[in-house]
Amino acid sequence: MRTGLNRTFAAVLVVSAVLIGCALGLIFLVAPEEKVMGAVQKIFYFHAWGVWWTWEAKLTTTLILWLLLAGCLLARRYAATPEQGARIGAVLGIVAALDVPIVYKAVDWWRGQHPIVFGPGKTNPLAPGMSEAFGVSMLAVLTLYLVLLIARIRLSSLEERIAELEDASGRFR
Amino acid sequence: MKSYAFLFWGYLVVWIGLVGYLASLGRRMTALARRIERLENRREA
Repeated sequence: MRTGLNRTFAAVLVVSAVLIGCALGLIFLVAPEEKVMGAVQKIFYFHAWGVWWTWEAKLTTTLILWLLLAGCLLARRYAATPEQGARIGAVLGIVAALDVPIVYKAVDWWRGQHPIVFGPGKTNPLAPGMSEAFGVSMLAVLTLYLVLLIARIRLSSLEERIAELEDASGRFR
Repeated sequence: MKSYAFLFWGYLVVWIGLVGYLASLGRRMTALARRIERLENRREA
């Protein structure tokens, strides 16, 4: 089991690194430059807003999502007992998952400053070169998520094994 | 045009942070695997 997980981890890590490299190449070499912000738009886009922060529906619902996820991590780490932390974390995780479609639909439900890129009547919203960069970037982020997930599973199983061994050695000392 | 070059440094910091985090996870996994090996050897001895 441990060897199988190690091999999966190594394979996903390599795939993730290759996809991240491809995504960066497509972003910086293939995708077109934005008119106002130039090359820097490829890493941070905000000129449509004109400000760094505004209480707009999509931004606000995203902030709520971040706070919920931060709360989830804090609950897991600082709750009085691990069981209590797991329960509070699970509730916050479910609420955060419910917030995700709200973030996505925020631009349709509450018309703010955010441009509608995907949606009805937008058959091909991305410029040539952008679709490839977008698709490969999505895959790269997905595989990076898998890398982190497998690493956490592996760490947890190792910690459990250590606890078992220490418990056993304590019993027979 | 206003310069946003500082954002590239921020971007670099994010990448360095990610690589550092992955390296720390790898180091932790190796350390735990070694500890398990020691505990298993001690149990067998």
